Amino acid sequence: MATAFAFEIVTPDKMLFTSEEVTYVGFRALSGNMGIKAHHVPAIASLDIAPLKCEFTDGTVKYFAVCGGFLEMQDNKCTVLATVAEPGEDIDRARANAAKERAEARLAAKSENLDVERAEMALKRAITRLRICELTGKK
Amino acid sequence: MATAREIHRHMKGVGNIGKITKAMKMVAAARLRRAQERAAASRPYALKIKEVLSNVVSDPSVLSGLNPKKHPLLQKRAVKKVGYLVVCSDKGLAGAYSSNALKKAVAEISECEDDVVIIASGRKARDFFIRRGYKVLSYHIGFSDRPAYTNAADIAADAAAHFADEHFDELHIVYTIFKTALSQTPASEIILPVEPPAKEEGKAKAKASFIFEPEEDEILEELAPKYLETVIYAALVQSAASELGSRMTAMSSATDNAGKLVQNLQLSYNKARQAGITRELNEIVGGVEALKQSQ
Repeated sequence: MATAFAFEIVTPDKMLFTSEEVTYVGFRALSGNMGIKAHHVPAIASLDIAPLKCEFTDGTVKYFAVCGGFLEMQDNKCTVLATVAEPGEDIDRARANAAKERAEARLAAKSENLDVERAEMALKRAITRLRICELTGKK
Repeated sequence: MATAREIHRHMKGVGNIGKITKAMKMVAAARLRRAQERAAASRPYALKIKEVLSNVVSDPSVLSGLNPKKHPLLQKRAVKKVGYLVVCSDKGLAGAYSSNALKKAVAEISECEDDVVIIASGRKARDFFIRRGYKVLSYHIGFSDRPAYTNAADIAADAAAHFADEHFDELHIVYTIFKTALSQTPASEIILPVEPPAKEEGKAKAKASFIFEPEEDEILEELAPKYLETVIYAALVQSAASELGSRMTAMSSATDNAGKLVQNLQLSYNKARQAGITRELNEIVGGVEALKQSQ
């Protein structure tokens, strides 16, 4: 189909996801939100920690939690390189909630040897996961 | 000659060692398969990140226009101090695996005329270099046969910090390339400063029109450390597979040797036992003869 393109998510451990039937990919780059449709001009983007939305030719939608990384669009093929990524259905809501509370508590405590950057990253990851749970209506 | 009982005890001991080495061999074989799978699974990511990096720097003006303060990992300096990241195992009983890697490292170091500092990965590497009085900046242990990406990320962050603080001006990694379970070769590469890979011929023209989001240099700021992590991860995974392969072969030959030893011991045990029986019979017959004559 003319409007579909190939999409893959690669992590260091494995090929997380591949599909030839993707019509739209929405994500957040470090410089702001972006969307990609078929035949997008070649692009390279640096990703923020945020949900990544993926629409398929049959109308279904899939979300991925992507924790940083890169996206490359080239020759009608879109590749996401992420150190950590997980599909929406694998997200454990309770765990994400717990992680969020933990990170918030750490940030609130403001102890001296706190690695603020790391705590904020953890918080961001947890929020991303929870956001995907909301988007997919997962309990 | 040892008594039958002593030989029997020795035999039992050797047999037990054989059982242990056999178990270790099977564990190593199972882990090796997994390590190989992991090595294969990590390849697409490594290739792709290399490609992206080469795309980002495809325009030579990108590199020359960089602010060195912002991209410490790409900064080329006059080499006064050389760092070696040596990847070795935590445990022994892996044949010549560790000593081969260490030999390679020492050979490289002895050729190098500058000051040398070490980052050790694996207990064997750490102990070796500390014992020989090298300057070990830091060490990373506890994961040599099953490295995770986070281990590589830790090492990369550590190496990057030392590089930025000018503890060394160049970092070589010494690791072991896995070929087959029987053959592994130690190798070394320069990983810092990050040398962006050259573009493949023929593809060069079409790529001039990338859109970068955000700008090239900002992407590079993210990409360079990630690339370093990937290179280190690849080396760790290769080394882990090598370690397990080497352990498997070492334990396999140890098991064979134990089996042979048990066989030889069994022979001498049988001989010793038979000798004892013959001696006793002789004594009895001799005793009977003596009794007959005295009657």
